[in-house]
Amino acid sequence: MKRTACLAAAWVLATGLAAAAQKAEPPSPKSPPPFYNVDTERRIDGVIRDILFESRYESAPPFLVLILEERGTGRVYNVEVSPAGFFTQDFHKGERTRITGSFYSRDSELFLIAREIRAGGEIFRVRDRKGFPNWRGGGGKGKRRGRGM
Amino acid sequence: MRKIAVTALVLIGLSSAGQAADGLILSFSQSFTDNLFQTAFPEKDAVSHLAFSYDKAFTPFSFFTEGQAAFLRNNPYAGSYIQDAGFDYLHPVNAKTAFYASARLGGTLYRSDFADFNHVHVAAMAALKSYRTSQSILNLNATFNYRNYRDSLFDHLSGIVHFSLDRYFDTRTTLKGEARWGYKYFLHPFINDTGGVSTSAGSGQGPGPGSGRMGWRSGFFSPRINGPGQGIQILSLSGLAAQGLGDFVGIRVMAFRQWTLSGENPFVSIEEFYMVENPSHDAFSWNGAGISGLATVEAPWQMQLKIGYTGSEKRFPGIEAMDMEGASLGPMRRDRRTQWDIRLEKSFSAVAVFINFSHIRNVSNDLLFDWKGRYLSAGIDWTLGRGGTK
Repeated sequence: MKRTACLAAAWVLATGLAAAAQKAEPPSPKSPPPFYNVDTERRIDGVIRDILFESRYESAPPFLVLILEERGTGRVYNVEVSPAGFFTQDFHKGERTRITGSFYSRDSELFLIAREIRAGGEIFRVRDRKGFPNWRGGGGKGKRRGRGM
Repeated sequence: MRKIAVTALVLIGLSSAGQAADGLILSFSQSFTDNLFQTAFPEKDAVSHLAFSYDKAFTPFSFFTEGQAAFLRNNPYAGSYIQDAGFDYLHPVNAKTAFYASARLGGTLYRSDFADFNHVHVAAMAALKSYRTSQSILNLNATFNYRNYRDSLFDHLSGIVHFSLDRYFDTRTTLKGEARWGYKYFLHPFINDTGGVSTSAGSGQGPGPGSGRMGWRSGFFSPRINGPGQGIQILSLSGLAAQGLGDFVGIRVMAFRQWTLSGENPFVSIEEFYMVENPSHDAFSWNGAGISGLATVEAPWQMQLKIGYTGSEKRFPGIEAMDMEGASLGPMRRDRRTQWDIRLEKSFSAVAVFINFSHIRNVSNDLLFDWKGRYLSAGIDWTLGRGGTK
């Protein structure tokens, strides 16, 4: 019972810290960053030409970025995947990939905010149909739900 | 039933809170099995799981918490609630390398049948991932766990160091090698006197075949005088080959081998239960080898189909095979297992559903653990309340 009480106290403390930190976060003074626009969604079949891990947004963890060359047209897209994607998904240069995401361009560069990635016989859904992120944390977390693959 | 309703109300409340939250995922799954306790005396049951996970980023840290409640229809006193919370940290070393660390605190509460498994745990993890080249990934991670059980016989520390290296080829082939070293130390796996065997069987009301309780035999631990702890050290190696076939099919095959470098299990018997974590049965308790295969098909209508097979042979150091009455048969317990899995997933807007079927045949020289079982699960993941689309 004592252990349960300690656990409950630790949980309350952790939740409180999280809430306090949330309140302390200052509002961003800059113009809003690119957002997921379902109206500009497109599907690109391509080949991964490079893999980067770099900062994209203020106050956000670095993103896994794929440099994708579209098959047929040769156009090159910067594909934003997710912050945790660097740890949870293994992509390789030369890998054939189909990516569905929100398109925008800036300074003559083409960008895609990924929603769904099909590669290596797997489907990675990093956002839902409305563009809301599905990702969570890093490599240490996973669902506990019982037997399965 | 009332507890399911209460938990559902709590989750509905969480979903309301989630409308303004950063990341909240609610999950529900329903499973059916014809061999809940995975023994030669099959027992049917239906298991319901309600779960939530929430995370909030505070660069470079993020807070996360997860909770899961389990309800069993025919064995209601085997239900449980698991709660975890912690922080993690992600640091880019450079454009090709990242460091990740996390710390978590949690606890598991079972109802009376498994009350001895109630525990609190502390875990820490550090990981480094690096692209040696754009076609080769190096992974290195270390995990540490401490678990403190209501029945202190199960208390343990454990650590695992894992290393993997892969290489992708233009033929759409991926080769991957992995190595893992682990050490688990039972802090005090002995009873306080020589007067008998600790039953570790909850209320100790004489569990037996058909009763659907832990501790089918007379106990888990050998009767020994109180003494120092006992450790088990393992090393495992595995190799994986994956191949893309066309645009819609991927296959992978894996082989693994595990050795017990030192120590042995401190138990009299080792049992595993469907969806209930038993501290006597984990990655440290066996040595042996196996192979597995998995085919993934990207089907129309946003569906994904997976078909998998795993075959293994495992030996349990320190565990002797027994007859149905618990008398030793002499040789070390050895299990040969074949498992088939098939899983179908489909995603909708904000919701993903799955159905999974598994068939397991476990052949053992311990008669109680010569069993087969079928497991059917269906579930739904519901993503709620993301603060924005950035």
